[in-house]
Amino acid sequence: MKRLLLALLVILSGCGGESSLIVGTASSMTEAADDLATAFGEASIELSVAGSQVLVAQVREGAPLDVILTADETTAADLSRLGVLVSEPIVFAWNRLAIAVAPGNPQAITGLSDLADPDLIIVLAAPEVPAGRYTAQMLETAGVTVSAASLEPSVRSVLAKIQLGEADAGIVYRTDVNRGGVSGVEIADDVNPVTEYFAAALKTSSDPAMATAFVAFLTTSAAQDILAGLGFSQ
Amino acid sequence: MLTCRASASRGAFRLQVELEASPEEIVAIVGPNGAGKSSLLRILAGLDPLDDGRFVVDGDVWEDTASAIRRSPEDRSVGYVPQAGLLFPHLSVRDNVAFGAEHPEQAAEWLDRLGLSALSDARPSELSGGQTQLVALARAQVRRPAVLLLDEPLASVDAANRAAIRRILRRELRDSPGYRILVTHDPLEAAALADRVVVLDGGRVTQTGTVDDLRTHPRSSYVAELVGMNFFSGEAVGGTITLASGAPLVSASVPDGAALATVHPRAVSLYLERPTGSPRNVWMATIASIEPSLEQVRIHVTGPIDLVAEVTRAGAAAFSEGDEVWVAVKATEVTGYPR
Amino acid sequence: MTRVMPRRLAVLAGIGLALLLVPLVGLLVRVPWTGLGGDIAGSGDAVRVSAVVSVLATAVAVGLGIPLAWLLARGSFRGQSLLRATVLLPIVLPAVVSGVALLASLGRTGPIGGLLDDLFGITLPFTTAGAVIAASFVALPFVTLVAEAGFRGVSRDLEEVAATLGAGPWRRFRRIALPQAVPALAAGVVLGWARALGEFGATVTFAGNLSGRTQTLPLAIFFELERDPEAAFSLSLILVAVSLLVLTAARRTWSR
Repeated sequence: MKRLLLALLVILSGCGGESSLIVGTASSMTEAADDLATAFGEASIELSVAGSQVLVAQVREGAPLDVILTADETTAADLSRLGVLVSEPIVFAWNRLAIAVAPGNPQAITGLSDLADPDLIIVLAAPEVPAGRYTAQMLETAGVTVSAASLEPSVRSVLAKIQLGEADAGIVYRTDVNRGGVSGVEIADDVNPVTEYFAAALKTSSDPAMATAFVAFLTTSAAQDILAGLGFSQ
Repeated sequence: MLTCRASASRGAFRLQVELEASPEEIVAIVGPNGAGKSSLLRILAGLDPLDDGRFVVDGDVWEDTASAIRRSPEDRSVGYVPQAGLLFPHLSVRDNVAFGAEHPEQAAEWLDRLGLSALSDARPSELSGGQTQLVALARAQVRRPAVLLLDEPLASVDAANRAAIRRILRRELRDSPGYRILVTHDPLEAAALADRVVVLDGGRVTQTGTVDDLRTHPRSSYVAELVGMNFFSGEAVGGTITLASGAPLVSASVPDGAALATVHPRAVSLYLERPTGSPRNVWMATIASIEPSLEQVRIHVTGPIDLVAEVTRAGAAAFSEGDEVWVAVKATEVTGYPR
Repeated sequence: MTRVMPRRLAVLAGIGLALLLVPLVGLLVRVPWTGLGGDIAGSGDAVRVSAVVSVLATAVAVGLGIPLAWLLARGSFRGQSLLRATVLLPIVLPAVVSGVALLASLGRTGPIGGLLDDLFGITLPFTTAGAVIAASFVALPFVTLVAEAGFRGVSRDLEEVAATLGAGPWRRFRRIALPQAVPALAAGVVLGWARALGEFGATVTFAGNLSGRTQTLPLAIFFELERDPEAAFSLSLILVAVSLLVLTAARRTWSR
């Protein structure tokens, strides 16, 4: 269905004279990608938001994307292996994890070790998605065992479960807790992994030059300022 | 006593009936299609409510609109045998009969009594129309209801079995205590099964009496036709009834005033030549139709007076449709009575 | 023998069939037949959760759907058509909306869920019971719809006769209407079960995803697709096969 919609988008946007790109965006990057697209200015950009792993699957099955932004190295490597990229993916943004709790932190959670409390309802991202992979890796490093109530399909649904009050805490990206509806609890830098976002232009793009130009734009200071302003930093 | 004053409307149709029955008699409600016979039966069974009226059985008020009393069907002691039996298709014959029984063995008793024991395990779909009716009767009777209601009990029975089923029905009705009311459109059935007939037409009772009463003194052309009599209405003066058409009909016995009269079809003679002799009523008419049945032939004649003559097959051979004939009826065969 | 099928209808019917079959054939082509056994064995938890959840949800949907169907088939009251529309709503609602609605009402902060939490300490999200509720929510309309049609086919005359034989409303329902509606009810049970088995959106939204507790086969397939697409194909095949088997078997039973 999504592919059909994408194809429709291509057809519809292809009707206009202006150059346009479809950028497959990892969900944690949604707001930033929106701002970056506006700042780019050389082409109209449509975002197709999905989990990184779904984006990879879409590319594999031939979705007409021009640029892809993924949230971890595993998915970037998957893309490389598919041989669909114009050049190797580049890192253009960084993030870290944080604990999301209900506004005001009613359970008084101070750090990762508090999440081991079996009376708390904790939701995590599923290990199939980048945020989940980072989370699992971090909990192992920190030696904390969390019995999760649910392994959610995306970091955004982890956030939603906390916003709705169904879960007491969850682990999300630091950039996610900067937005409303939840409070954030910092995780010590020594266990908190730096996560990397990768960008690449696709060979199948209708306008590979423009796609490559957009990827190059992401590392300019203008783009980096936008990202830093939204909290995407080491 | 059973007394029911019933008033109910179904769309444009309006039923307005007063019905009485005693436990000593079997009552047949007779009338044409759409007369309200089945509606009345459904009201008695409690399946449809009265708009206005009162229904009392042996002093128990089953329904009274004035005091808002209405017993639901399951709280009335009725046995209802609907048209075509309506057995429960998913239950065996035995389970159908046992449905309303207090003890399962009562079902076996009743099946035995009606000669249905061999069919105990059969499904309703395997039964003939007659067997279905008998099972439906057993199912209703097993409760020994205070009021037994039968709706066209023989309508779905094929002709070959009708006499046999009617005999069993007659015996059962005679042997049942309580009130017995059946609905039929067939006068023969009414005559065979009932002591008293209530004629229902257009939602109203038009006549009530024994089958003989109806036969000798029908009060409407419907009843006359039902019992197979020629029927006339007019004004009698000195033994001559002047019909609405102006034609005179002489009767040996009719009081002066508004009068009704019947003539048995077999008392009507037809001649090709003007008859000689004494008949007081003689006129010329045309044969409209000739309708043979097994032994007799019914000949419809039109003229100053329309009527039906019944003649033997041999006698009918002389006539054909369209013939001009002489009609003769003796004054002693014209039974007159006040309207 | 006359030809019953006008040619143009036959062509459209063929295209319709293709639309339904092509994805299934695609699935068959992509299934890694050699690894099938391993993939299935690796999903034992999801199979078990799916079995438990779908059967319990069907039981709930039948238990509640039959009374609802009876009310809709035999009742005559104001707002009946509104009630019917409400009952059928989950059929047309996106499953995720059903999940959101369930969260809003039965979630820990919802009006009813909050009460359950406060009074009994029961929370439904992230539990197998929650998955059962989500599946029941989407299966109930199917059971109700089919059962209502079944009850409408039961002759009222027979119920009336039963009433004259002293049977009250419960006995008439139990002994007359219910047995006669059995074929339709069987169809409703099977459809409801199939719907419950295939439920994804409401479950993942309301009950979350935890292997062995709330991760049903469809959820497992969704997550496998992101980790091991081959395994996702294998599990999809199982779901298709089981559903097809049950629908065919049931069709044979109720059309007899």
